[in-house]
Amino acid sequence: MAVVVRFAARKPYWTVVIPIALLAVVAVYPIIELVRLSLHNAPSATGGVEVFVGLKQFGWILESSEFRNSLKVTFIFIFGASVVEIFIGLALALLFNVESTLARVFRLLLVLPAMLAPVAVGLIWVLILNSDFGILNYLLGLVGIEGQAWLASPALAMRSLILIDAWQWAPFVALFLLAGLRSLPTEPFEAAKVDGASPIQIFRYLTLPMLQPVLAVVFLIRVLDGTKLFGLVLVLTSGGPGSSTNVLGLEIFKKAFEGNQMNFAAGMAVIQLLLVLLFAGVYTILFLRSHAAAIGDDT
Amino acid sequence: MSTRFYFCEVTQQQSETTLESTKTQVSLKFIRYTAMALIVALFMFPVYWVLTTSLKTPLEAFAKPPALIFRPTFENYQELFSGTDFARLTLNSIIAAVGNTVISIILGTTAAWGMSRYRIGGNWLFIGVLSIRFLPVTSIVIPLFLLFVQFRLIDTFATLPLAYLVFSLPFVIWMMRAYIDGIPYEIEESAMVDGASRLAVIWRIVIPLAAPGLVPTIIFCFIFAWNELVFATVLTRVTARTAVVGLTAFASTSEDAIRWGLISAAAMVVMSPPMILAFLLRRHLAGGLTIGAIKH
Repeated sequence: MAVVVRFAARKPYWTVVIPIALLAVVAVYPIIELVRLSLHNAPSATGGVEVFVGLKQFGWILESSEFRNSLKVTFIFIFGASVVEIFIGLALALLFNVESTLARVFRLLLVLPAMLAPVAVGLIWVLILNSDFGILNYLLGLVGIEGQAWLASPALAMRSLILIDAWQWAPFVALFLLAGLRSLPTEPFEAAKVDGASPIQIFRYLTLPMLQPVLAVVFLIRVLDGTKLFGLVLVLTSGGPGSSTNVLGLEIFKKAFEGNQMNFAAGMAVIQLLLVLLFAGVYTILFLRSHAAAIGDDT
Repeated sequence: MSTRFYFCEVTQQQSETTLESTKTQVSLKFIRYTAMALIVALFMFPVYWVLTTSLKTPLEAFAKPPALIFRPTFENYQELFSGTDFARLTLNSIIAAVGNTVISIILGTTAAWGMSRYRIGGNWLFIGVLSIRFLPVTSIVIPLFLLFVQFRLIDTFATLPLAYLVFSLPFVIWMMRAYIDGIPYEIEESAMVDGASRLAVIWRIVIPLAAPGLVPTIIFCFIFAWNELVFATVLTRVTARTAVVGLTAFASTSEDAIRWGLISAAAMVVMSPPMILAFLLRRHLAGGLTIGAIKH
């Protein structure tokens, strides 16, 4: 008894004091400051004080065609990439769902792109997709298909961006879904086989519905990540051609650090924060419901 | 003896009757593994292409049709490390990533222990800390930049290790609290009865026992910091600039196509540590990437 009492007597609050203090300075204070910035306008160039503008800032932001465009582009990217990644990821998960050392090595190699810096990923693809000397147009030329300006044409840039994101993240989605597949109970599948169900029927009426919560969670993870897209698109197109890939993260960055409109950018950043908050809330609810905590399965 | 013989007979009989289905199974397995190998090759091709481009001479890198067979040369790496200041940027990346990892592992593991063993702050503190990880970097970097300007912390060697705490501390606390939860506390208890201080308990007992969880946490911390772009671009100028920022600068001058070998070499330098470390992570990849993916 004495042991228990001693172990729980005084809580060692010192263990959390420094981390919480640091997080307060580098995370909590910046959020408050961000909101404050978004409600003010900078003093004029000749000097003076900050002007309180309140919610008018958000009115100006919503009227700005650049912001509206970036929001539209962001949503096209988020949903395009997430859907493509779910489809490819599911196909990969089903194919790679075998147990052997070789399969494990394959899965590890497959997920390597997810470890890479977005900037490096961007550069790889700039090299491959270059319309003049890139390897892709050369290979297409061999089979008689005319090369395209993959990143320089407004019609293709977004599609290229989505496919590059899928190259980096679909294997991760597959790994996540694989863990989900393995956590499904085996009895219904055995029963279905005994009853003579075809593999397609089993997939359509058993696997897919049972996997649905895990699919929803991984979809939300990709949506959340897509909302924050920055490095990849910076290197690939820096928002262009025109503004066809100018996502929200890039627009905020440009306004703040190139256009020197800190307060306007802060307002857009608040909107980005709210979007992430919304998606994170949905994610948390889905995650708690799906018991998908069975991740961290062997690769 | 007789029993073994009997079993042998049975298996032989069985194998004869199911020979046909075994054959189809073997060929199905073959098709499946071939498909897997092709897909892995397809996904690995871009990395292979950058690697080979980094080993080509400028002429070969720019050749039309692309040079598929060539004599590998380390010229590009030599020029990268002696002709440009990329070596310094790489060293800066190591300083930033190691510095941040050391601080966040020490502080984060201690906090995780307190939050696991004593439930300090309960679930609210834990969720609060974890939710910080959801913050988009492009949002947080604006006020953080202004803060660091005030404290004269722009472009020092302390800048990035401190700034990266925003994401690394919640990550370490999340990983290590879950891990420490799974370690029985009786050993710590009896050590304390013997008069060991809490710090000694953490250092001598918790850390060694938590090592299997600590290793992937350290590796992920290092990789996230190594790969980070936004903070490194905004909060550093010259002195503390990192390799990832240097690589981005290369990309913006990509009109100079002659330098593709050099750019590829720089990309390989940035890509190698995460790819090598990934092999050490293996079964922790999915879990760590999940929490990593919801970062910036």
